[in-house]
Amino acid sequence: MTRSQLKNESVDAVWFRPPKTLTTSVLVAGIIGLLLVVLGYWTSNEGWRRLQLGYLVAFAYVLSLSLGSLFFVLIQHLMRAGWSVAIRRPAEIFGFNIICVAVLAIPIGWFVWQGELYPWAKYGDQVESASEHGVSFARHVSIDELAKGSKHPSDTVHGSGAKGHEAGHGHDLYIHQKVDELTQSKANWLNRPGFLLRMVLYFAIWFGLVGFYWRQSQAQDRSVQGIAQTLSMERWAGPALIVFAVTLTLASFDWLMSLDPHWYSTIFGVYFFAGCTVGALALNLLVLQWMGKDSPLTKNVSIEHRRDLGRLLFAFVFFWGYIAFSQYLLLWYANVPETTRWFVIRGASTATGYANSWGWLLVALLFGNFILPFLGLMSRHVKSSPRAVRFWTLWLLVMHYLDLYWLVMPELGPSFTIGPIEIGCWITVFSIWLMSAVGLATQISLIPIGDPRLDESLRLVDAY
Amino acid sequence: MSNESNELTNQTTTGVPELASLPAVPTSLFAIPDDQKPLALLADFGTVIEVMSAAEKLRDADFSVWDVHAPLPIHGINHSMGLRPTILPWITLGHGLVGCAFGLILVWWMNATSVSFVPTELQGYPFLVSGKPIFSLPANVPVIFETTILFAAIGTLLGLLGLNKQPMLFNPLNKSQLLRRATMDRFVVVVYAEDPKFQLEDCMAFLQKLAPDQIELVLEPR
Repeated sequence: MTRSQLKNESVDAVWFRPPKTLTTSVLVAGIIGLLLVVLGYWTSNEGWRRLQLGYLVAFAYVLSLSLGSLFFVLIQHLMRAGWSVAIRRPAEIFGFNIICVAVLAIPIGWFVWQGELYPWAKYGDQVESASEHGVSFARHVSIDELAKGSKHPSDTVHGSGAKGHEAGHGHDLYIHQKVDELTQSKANWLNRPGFLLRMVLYFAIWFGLVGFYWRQSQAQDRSVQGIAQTLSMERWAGPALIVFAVTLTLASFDWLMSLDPHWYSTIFGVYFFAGCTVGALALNLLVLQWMGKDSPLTKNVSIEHRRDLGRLLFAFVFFWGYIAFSQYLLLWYANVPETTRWFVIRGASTATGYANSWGWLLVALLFGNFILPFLGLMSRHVKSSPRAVRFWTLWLLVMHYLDLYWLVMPELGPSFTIGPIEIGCWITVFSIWLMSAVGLATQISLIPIGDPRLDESLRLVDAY
Repeated sequence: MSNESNELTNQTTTGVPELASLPAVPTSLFAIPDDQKPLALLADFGTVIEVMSAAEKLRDADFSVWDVHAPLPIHGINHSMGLRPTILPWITLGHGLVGCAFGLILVWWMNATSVSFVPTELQGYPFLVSGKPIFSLPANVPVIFETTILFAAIGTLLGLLGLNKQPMLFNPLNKSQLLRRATMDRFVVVVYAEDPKFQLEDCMAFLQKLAPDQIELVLEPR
């Protein structure tokens, strides 16, 4: 059988006509979200700061869904996968929707330009010398001095030996929010023009990636055989993934990790990526489940596709837990004040005077984003049941939001806060992103009819 | 018989030779020596499509102790054969849970206990590492994780062997020339004599209707 014979001529393009209920409900949700933001802004003391942080969470959420979908497309081409061809289009649409995310990034850039949101972005050269706060850094104390019995400076600040320090340490825990020498020392990377320039660069690169796969795939639909496009998409999948990994890592460093400029974790990019993939797979699976009910996709996308996607989701749920724990374990073991503080602020400590109510969110994530969905998605029967799949994908989409929330919001202070501002930001931004995705979805056939492997995908049968 | 079989032949996939052109079943097959009894009937097919349609007919005829041998994995053969889902995942899960509990008890006993009523070699050895608690879960998770994986993997392997009745050092079917081809280029359906529906003549007739290229009877000592 030659490759041209593989091409299935009998499948027609499937055009998405968004039902009125969908567009109205997304629109209404967006307006409700906006009202919630306004309401929360007027009733909260820290409204402006909360709005900025809440917006960052919402932005990171839609960004992660787009990036995760792009990753799904790339990995399918890299692996020359046949099974996923029929369900690749939604992921291509969500990935291409990164153009909407780029527009949503403008407020972030504006916050930074105003010298807000990130501690390092502050204007003025009022560098607060660390010693003014009774803090000096380890590099000021030589090993010889330490050997002679000098006290290690960090002992008085964050260390476990801080006796009688409980009352005042709250101030010290948030010291990274002041512009101090340590933050200044990273100014070569963390500065306003550099941040904005990199933001433009990341989005330019992502435009290039999603644009290439979108255009090739669309051209394939119109082509006779489509082999040239498939080969070209496969050829570029490898380099594209490398570029994707580097930009995603650096972007997560810039936008999420630098909220605490003192902190560093080399696995952070992978952590964000794991969240991206869980969120995107859950969304794609939910969309397929929803579309499968009464749409032309029904006859093309079978339960086999959804079950296989569910298996990928199950794997990445575990991957998220694995990476999250790896990050925690290393920082916990090393117990370096600079790096443990990030976890202490986020509620990971149970020591007297260090525990805070963000810990409940951390426990909720441990169970809600890892243990429960891991056990819940394990069974084949769950992955075959539409109701169970709908439940778990929605659950994971909410948990993914809380995951990002946990990364960002504890910068506010030591008590767990969630309110109309944050939820409103989330709903509004997600609605805008969804509206844009719906618009894009009407521009392209929901089945890549030109892909030579479409027939293979439609004939997908479970191996066991 | 010929009328009936012609009907069936027309239904089967193209490419199967007409039944009339098939070699007649040698009557010598039925001349079973007194010290032997039938073990299984083998029917041999040339393509995946043929063997799958044959499997569907056997499934619909409620045969229960039968199998399909193929030189390559056939996706969807489980549906064609009407196989129930395997219980192997449960075996894996059970072993994984046991491994998890074993790992937890192992690190607890070795790191966090020190009792005198057992021999020294079996006693725990509490050791303070960088000021962490003697029994601290984060440090133990990697060990627990590894024992969980190890037990689950071993359990899966042993469960797989057990469910497939392996290792089986001798099987009378090995003598069949037809079955050897099933490791190269032929697809072979095996209906065992232990099947409650197995009646040699009826079963032979049934298999013939499936239009195989060849049928073989394998005997075993009584």
